[in-house]
Amino acid sequence: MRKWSVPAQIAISFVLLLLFLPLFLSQESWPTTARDILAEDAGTQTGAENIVSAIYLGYRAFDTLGETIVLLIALSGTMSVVSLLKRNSEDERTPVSLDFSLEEEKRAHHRLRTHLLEVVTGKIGPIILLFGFYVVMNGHLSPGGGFQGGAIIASGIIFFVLGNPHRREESEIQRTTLHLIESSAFLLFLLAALVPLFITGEVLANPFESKEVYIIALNTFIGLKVGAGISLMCISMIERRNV
Amino acid sequence: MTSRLLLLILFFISLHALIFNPSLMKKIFALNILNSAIVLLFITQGASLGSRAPFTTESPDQMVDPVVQALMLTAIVIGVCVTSFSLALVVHLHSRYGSFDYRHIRKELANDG
Amino acid sequence: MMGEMYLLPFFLPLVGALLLLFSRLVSEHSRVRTALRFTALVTTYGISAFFSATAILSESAGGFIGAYHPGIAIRWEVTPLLSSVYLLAVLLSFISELYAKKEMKSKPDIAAVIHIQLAFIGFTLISRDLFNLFVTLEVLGITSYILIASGEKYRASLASISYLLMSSLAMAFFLLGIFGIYRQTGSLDLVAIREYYLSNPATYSTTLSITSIAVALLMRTAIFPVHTWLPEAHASAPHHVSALLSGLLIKIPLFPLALIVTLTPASVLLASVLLYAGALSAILAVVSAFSQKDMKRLLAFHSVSQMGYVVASFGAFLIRGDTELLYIAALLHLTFHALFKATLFLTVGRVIDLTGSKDVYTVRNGARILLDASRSNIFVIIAFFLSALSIAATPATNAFISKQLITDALKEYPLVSWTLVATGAFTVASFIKLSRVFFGDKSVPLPSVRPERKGIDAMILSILFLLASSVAEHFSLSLPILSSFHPYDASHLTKTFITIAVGGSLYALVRLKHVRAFMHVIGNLSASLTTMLLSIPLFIASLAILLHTVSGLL
Repeated sequence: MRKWSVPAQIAISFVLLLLFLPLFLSQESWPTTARDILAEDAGTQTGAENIVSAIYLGYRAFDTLGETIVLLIALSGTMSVVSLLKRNSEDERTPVSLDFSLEEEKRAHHRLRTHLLEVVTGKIGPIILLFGFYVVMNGHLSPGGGFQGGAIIASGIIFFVLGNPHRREESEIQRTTLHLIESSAFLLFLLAALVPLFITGEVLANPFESKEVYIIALNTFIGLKVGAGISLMCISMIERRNV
Repeated sequence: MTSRLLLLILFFISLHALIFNPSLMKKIFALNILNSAIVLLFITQGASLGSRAPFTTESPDQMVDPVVQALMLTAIVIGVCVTSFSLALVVHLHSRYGSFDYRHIRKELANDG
Repeated sequence: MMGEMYLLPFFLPLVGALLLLFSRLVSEHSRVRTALRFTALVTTYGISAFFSATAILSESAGGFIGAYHPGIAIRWEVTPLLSSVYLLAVLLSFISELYAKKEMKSKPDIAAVIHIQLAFIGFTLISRDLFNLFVTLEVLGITSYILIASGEKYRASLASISYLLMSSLAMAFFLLGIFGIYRQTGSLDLVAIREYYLSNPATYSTTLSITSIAVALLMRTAIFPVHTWLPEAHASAPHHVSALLSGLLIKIPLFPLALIVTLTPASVLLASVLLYAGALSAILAVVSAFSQKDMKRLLAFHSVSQMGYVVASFGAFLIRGDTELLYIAALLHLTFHALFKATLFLTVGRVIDLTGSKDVYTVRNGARILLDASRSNIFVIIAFFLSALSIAATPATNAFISKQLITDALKEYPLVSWTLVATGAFTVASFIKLSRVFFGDKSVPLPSVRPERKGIDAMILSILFLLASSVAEHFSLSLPILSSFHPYDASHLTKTFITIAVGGSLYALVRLKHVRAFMHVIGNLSASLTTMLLSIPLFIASLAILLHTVSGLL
């Protein structure tokens, strides 16, 4: 196909814009049916005060399962493609990203590593991790939840990795632990989804008397899974190999 | 109304970039902006229902639409995951062919194989 | 089976995937890993096939997942038909994984992706909720991107990113469609939406929204003009992935599509689009297929073409709403195509692996090479010829019946019917061309091959199912619904004979230099990424305008 000229391109995009305009700018008012139903029942049916949590962990928990699985496969797919990248040499001239396998003596002279980075990230890491857990556990009462908290937990873990002055052997253990956490959290989530099927006859239904337990449990599993998964992917991107 | 008009323009600018810009990396940026435009569209429309966040402690008439927010949570996560995988692919291609331009990559691939 | 137990067969592959992910944590050759893998295979394929078969024998079931309030929760529905389609999916995934046993063993995350894909194929089939469809389709998309790129070749990465961009664009429009519909109806439940539009008028926004969703689904089914991602994607993927994609994934979006097309009384006009786009797809793709040099691209274009048959029949059924024959024809062809297309990819894959070349004009002596590598490769040869005869609709094969059924049932649309007959001729021609790869040619030197036995069990399974489906098919001719259909009478056999004759002469035409040059040009045509991406919004917008004006005139 021949290359389109710029005026032709702009014309095509403008025409498409005009054709879709009614969809965006129509004056119909937004429906209130869903909100009204939920404002009534959400608290008692799911045990959450945050209605958004009630929706994605209660009414539409199945979508959340799909979302968790998207995260699972996308991260593992990314890691397997990243592992195909040929490792740049240890050459100081090539702008390699932060290289954790460098010996301590070499590391002091590496362009991109400074003491500032190590001190700050190493010290802030635990605080961020704590905040992440707070967001996860409190997701049913205030804005937050599994995914949001999981992302924060992941950044906390990355901070640990960035600020870690130790050698690579220790970080091997970290990686295996993260893999184990991710897989176990997914296992627990699947169990939480399927066990109610055998108790009450419905998948992803809340089997407990005090409803909050189920939501907090789901939030925790999701938070751990997301946190472990994203941090593993970031570590593999930094190290350019499949961890 | 203004917000929707702006989002419409944003949507079509990013659509234009996604379709016509030859660089794969820019296409990925454009896809991200496209997804953000749609997410914002949903959220601003949902927010037209009221001014308070959707908690059971608030009065029902003033809450924004919570369903839309839950849907967009999912949409955002899916968008991020797709972006991460596409970035990995594009960097993989770049590491071999030295360019993000898909026409260049196609030509080189045809020469290789 | 009670209530939500119907959902169990779809969750079991997730459990299998989980076991495979845990197996990553142990060393590759340990017994634990083998045990985990074996349990995963049994759970995903064995146990879920069992529950699925039970579901086929029970009656339909439906409800809301978690049994929450209908206005918000996700509706699902399982029917015996959908359970059968799922069983087909289980079978094909199993054959595909069996074929690539060794790779699956060393890469458990890719195997886990195949299991997850199976689970979400099931979820897509049973979902009756708009946003849930979005999520399940995105999962299926991501699994395909990963599987295509799992071959680790650059060509595959480019094909994967092209498919990713096109699919993500289509899904962005899907979301926009959800926006439009939710704004008008306040619900995401397909049943509730359909009820709403029975008593409320559909505006231009509605048409635009429904068209956006429908085109996103059509793109996954690879119908002209949004089929452009398929040739490269299926050609550059690893062989078992091509089999899975062509055999399974392009068929699944048809089931939600039927629901979307019938969402409003006006949107049924989309079914006419399906009818004509399907026919157009069939003929254009088969001409492209005939002109291909790359063996796998040839097969990939045939997938587009055969899906054209299915979609045309489907569309005609949705227009009429009462002629079940059309629906049955579409489903039969869908099932048979799944079986023989997957087999074709797997068998041709063996030849490509052993000869190191994909060029359909230069690879020869395939049968001899296969037998040299291993005596048991005789099954590969048998499987290829069975499938090639099937796709060419030779009498006594399963697709002979389904193709005749489709062309018969579409008699009221003579243009479509004759296009499909012409497609049949070209199909015969290209499979004569492809099978020459297996025949001997003394002028071409035999490469030396290592003795190798691979994928035999998958081939045996394929052969068994092709034969079984053919036998079952011939028995079903005695069913009341097919009583007026006599595929072995004079007119059908003459038609078949003429098709085969025309096909043969088309193939002979290849000897002419001008024809060769023309085919070379067509074979190398490939859409630029820009055109691929542009086709989606253009198709959506033009369909929406067309539908809106036509429904306004009626």
